[in-house]
Amino acid sequence: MSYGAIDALRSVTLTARPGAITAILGANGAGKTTLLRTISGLVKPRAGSIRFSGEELLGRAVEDIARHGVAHVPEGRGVIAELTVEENLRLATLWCMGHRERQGAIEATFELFPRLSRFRRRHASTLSGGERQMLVIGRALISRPKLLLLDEPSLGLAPLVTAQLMALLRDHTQGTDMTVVLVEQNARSALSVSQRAVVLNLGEVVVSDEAATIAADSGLRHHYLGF
Amino acid sequence: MGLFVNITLDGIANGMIFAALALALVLIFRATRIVNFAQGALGMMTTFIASSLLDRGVGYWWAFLAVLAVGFVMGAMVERLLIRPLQGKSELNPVIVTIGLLVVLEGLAGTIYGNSSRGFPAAYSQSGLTVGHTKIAFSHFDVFILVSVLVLMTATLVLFRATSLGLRMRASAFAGEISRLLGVRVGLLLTLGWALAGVAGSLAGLLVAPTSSFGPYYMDLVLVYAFTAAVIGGLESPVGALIGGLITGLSISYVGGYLGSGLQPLGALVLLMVALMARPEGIFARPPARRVTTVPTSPRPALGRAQWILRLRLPTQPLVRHVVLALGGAAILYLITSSLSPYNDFEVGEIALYVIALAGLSLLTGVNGQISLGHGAFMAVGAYAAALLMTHTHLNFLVELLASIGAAGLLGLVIGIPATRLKGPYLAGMTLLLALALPPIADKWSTTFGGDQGLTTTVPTAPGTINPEEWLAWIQIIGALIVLVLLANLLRSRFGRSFRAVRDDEIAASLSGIHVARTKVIAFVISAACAGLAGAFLGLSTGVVNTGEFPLTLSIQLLAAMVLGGTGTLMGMWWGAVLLVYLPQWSTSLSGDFNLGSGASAYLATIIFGVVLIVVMIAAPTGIQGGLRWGWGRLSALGPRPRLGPPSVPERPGEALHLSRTAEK
Repeated sequence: MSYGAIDALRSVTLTARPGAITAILGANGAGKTTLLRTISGLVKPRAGSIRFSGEELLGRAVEDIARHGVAHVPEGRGVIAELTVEENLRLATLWCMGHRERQGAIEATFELFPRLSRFRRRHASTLSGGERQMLVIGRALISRPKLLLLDEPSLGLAPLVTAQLMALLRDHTQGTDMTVVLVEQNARSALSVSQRAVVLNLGEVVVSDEAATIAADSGLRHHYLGF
Repeated sequence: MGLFVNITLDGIANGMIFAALALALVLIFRATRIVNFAQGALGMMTTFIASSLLDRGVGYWWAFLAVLAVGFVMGAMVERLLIRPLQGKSELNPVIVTIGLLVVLEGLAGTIYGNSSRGFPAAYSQSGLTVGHTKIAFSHFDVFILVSVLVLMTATLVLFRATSLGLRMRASAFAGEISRLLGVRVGLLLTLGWALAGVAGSLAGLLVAPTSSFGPYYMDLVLVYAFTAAVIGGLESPVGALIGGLITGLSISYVGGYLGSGLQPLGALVLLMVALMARPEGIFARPPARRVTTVPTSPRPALGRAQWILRLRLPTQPLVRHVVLALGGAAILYLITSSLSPYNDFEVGEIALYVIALAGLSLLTGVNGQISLGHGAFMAVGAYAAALLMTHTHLNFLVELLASIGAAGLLGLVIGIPATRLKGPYLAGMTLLLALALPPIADKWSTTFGGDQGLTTTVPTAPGTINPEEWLAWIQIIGALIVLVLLANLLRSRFGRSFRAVRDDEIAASLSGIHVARTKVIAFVISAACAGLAGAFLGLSTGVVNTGEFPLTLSIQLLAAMVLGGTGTLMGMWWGAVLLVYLPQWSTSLSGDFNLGSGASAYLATIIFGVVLIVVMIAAPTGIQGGLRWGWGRLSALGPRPRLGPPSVPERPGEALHLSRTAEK
């Protein structure tokens, strides 16, 4: 993957398992965000292959990839501020559900995040950072994706809120066939919820292993993760 | 009292039509952040199609429906073919492309259907209704206007508020990338928005045609009134378009009824300026999020070897360097003018005067990021100022020129102050209105401004045996060279850097201590002053100054020539000026060669200008000068690089618009 003369991703090969969270870690500029944007089709790589449950995603349109069950929560939330909370949720279900099923799914999401149900007719622009994060994660889960891509969900959130979100994410992944790829700067909290982890540096994979193993490797932690 | 009631009723009927076209502008602006200045011309085109259908015996209502469908298809085609390729580029590019489309459509309509205005039938009787015993100025047809526009408005509101298609359309407009990630087919919905706007525009065209002089240009004023209405309404809301339409319709009607119809465009301009000063984001809109913009500029490729040699031979001190270049240019032009016939000298002089106007426009648009579709109006002010002084006083020639510069600069100040609060499309609309509003003033006070006859100008007597054409050419050439040297120095100075900083990021510029508003006003005044001088020179070339010299097409041709020459460059303006002077001649001889008839030849130049605008914006936004710089950089990079040369930067001419902000991080 390259932007003009600059290669953001050189050679990245990774696989993620269903029912587990795979954390992508690394410093600024390591290529984490670019990796997610490549998977969801927002940027086109020069060469390579992205296979998801046996199908090639590369070269497909962003909306087609989304309709294949890939939900991407971009960096910096991505609520549509001009729409109401409920409209944000409804939008994500339009391609995959009938009217009745949609109402059920929206109510289920409000049960998952009771805080949001108080604001359902309010514009998303009135939400706080944490509420926005709830909304985008709820919006990503509502279409029951097979692959969930999360870009820095902890950015700008209080540690307590981050911990709640991470726990919720873990509960929602275990025992399902959903694959979660979690990009994080906050390596410590990401490693605590994920099963596998990949460390990127300057667009290349440094290590790819069980999360516990990486968390235990102090040299790796010091060198690439800064804790 | 009866007059007041009738004027009010007339204003309501007109206001509903403006609301329909304003709705079209709003539909597109919501979806793509673009003001489609060709919307009126599209309505004009579809109404001409309706007219031909009616001529062939098709029933009125069949023609009506067919034309709404044609409007739908044309709207979609414009989006797919012309607007889609501009995605992710500066917000000025689509403005320029839609202006190009406007003149192409008007040229085509003029070629096919002729310039003379023709009649167009109304669906219902146009004679006034009788209330009690008095006849009022509100006809069955006006009732039809009222009902059809209200139906259109209601349908749009229901679509947006109550359907999932409308939800998708709103989401695509507000947040395209996120909507795509949620599985929404954004591209299709944007096209649909343009297509619906095409329907609304066609309806407006059909409703205006019976009550106006239906011809290629009959929608020009309707478009700027609709733009005023849309801006008053906030450009985002259909309800705002309706209320804005009524406010505009009533205001125009009162101005027309009590002050004379010639002042209607000026009334709209004042209304628009007041609305923009009071609340630039419109009365019915929420304050917009900050949107960062970039502007087309010619890339400066890394210096290659040959350029280093050139650099070394020219003085490095900017002032000296520019003066040396100007003297060199003067010598070349002297050789050219002294070897040519008087008529060709006359043309060289015209090229020089257009260079002055174009250089000012290039500074304004390319360097400072403000667009002007009304530079012809500044030229008109300069021309009239000089001509008035020549007619009534016996001042020194230079004093007369300075007065024309000052008069245009003053108007530039008046327009530039509200402009400081405006972004691309708003400013484009306001200056477009300016170009339409000024000429009728001269017609209104015809005793002062000479009416159709105009005012005559006098060139100072040539010294010695120099023939008058050569002498005039020399006055204009010297003027152009002085202006170019001054502007080149200005661009290298603190002011030039401030201009660019304000263009690239107003907030960053103001945080760096630059007074943003003052900088923008200064750029506007300088640009208008240049146009004023060019206008005075144009008056000298033509011998008379009348409003026919300054139509809207002049402003648009200036923009086209500037864009073709290379937005933001000064030297590139010579290419643009050559085009301005010679294209009309070439197209006349071209249409003679192909036996296109005299009707076509009048429009061919216009069509070519429009096509040039569209093609350059889509294919080569840096224009001729940008292409030359790129080619020169390539050429000189071929040889071995100097050891201590500057680092090489990837050169991609078409990518200049991407600069930092629109690019991926």
